[in-house]
Amino acid sequence: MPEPLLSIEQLTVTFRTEHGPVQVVDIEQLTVGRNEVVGLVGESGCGKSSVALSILGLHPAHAARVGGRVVLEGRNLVGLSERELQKIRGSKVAMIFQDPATAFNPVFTVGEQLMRVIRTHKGGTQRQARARALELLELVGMPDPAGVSCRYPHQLSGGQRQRIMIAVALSCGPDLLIADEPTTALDVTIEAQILDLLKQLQRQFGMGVLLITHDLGVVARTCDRVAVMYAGRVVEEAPVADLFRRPAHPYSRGLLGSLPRRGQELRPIGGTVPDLRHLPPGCRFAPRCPLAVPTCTTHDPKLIDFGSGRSAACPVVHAEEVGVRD
Amino acid sequence: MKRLLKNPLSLAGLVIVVILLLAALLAPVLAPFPDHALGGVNPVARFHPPDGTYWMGTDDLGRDIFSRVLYGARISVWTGVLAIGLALVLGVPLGAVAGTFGGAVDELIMRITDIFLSFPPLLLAIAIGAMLGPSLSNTMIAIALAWWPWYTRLIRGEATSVRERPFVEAARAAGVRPLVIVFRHILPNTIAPVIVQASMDFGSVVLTLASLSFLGLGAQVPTPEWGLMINTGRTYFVNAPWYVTYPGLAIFLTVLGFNLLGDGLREVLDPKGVKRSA
Repeated sequence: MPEPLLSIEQLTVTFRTEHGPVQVVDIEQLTVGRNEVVGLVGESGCGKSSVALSILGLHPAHAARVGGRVVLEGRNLVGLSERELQKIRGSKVAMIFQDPATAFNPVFTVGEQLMRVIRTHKGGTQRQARARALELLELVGMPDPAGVSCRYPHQLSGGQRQRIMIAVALSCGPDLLIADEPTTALDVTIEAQILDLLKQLQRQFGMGVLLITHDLGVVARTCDRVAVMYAGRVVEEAPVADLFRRPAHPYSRGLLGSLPRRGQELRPIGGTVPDLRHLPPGCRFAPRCPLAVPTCTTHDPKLIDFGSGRSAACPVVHAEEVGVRD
Repeated sequence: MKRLLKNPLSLAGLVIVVILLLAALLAPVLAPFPDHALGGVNPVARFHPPDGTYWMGTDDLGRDIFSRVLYGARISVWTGVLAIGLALVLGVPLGAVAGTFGGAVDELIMRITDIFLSFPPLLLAIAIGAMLGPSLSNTMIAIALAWWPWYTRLIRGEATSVRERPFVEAARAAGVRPLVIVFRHILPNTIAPVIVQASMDFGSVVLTLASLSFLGLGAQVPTPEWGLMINTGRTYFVNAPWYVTYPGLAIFLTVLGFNLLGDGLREVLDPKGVKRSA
């Protein structure tokens, strides 16, 4: 297996709170290859965005402690100095944010902001940066790039802003693109356009993409591989088609089962997400799990590799069940 | 701008401020006796009451008070601009840095402002003025030193809220350096309340300058500074009431003008004030 572009190993993120430390992320292993879109799925508060921030080292040092390794092209990013991280942010790893309305500085035109990112990382003259900015706007499918670049963020629509944010992210040719809920703030038709654009650009530039979302529809449309997170842990990893066909982990099954279908009542997962301050002993999903056996509440399961790129952190499911032959 | 002009009070403020600025700018042209403001004396017309020649009367040395009040506008405007400018130059970047970075830097800067804020501004200006020696430029420095912590506090408060906005995180994720974030992203989004505050403070600074000069710490004779003129004139208050009245009126109108204008600006720049100014 070739070395992945990004490899997250034993990553932990612990927030300092008034009630003492709270561990919000605890991931054994997660990789993103070159030219691959990996979806990170989970419900609100499961630690998805925290993973994204820890890759870029954006957690404020006084509020969070990051442990483990985040290896990008063979280099561990955890513990790098702020100065070195600045060189990586935006140039090697770029990020797209959830709400394009607030992710731009309201007092500058989008063209200025795009050019500034280009000049921060690539240097060059104002003229060169301008040419590159127009090129990028064209690339993300903006009609009239020159006109658009003179607009302020509030003069653009949500879809346009998100396209420009993608242009900003791509401006320095990143190897890894982190998209944190890139379409949550957009309506459904625009969502499809933006996802198609992301996918197309990802292929064109051979980037690795980590797509963070709570929306399984987005995952199905865009991702090659998917990791399901629950309460700070990755509980299942699988190629996207396999996950939808035969989810392994009971939580993934519950997620897929709770998707709205025509003519059927919604079947939510019973119970609630555990409080991260008072995690249950053993498996974190056990209290809500329909398949739980007594050992689930005492033994904390590790990811079990089923082969064929599938793994799940559940001792109850077997390889045969998920359709992988040993 | 339209909204500013719609409100009669802000309009009045603006008119007063414009008149003051014009008076300052055009003093050499408008003043009937420019040399009276520049050290010349006119002993033949001592304590001449206001009439067609001497619109505001003359003082103990026969100088035309109208000319001196006009030149006084220059001094007040100039000192006010410089003092506030200096206070802004000191206070604004410190506040932005404190608010953006937080932690120990914030703590340090805020405790320093606390020290300055624990003295009444006028008292602090008097102390600094006394320390540096009485002169107009020292007064300016004293006023700036008394004023900058207010701007630091104001900007810091704004910055702590702006730094949580997603575009700041987006900038960090794009690899923008921290100081660039402070000056490009935080500052431009925090400056509106400072503009209001500075325009309101202008009146107070003019008043403080006059007070310090009145106390003998600011401008020195024969400078036609309003506070100094009142100080000299108060001895002759009974026989020549115009001597203190007109410089006093000038101070009063200046402070009033800037306060009205500042109020108007606040309503225009504050999105929540939209309805009130309509």
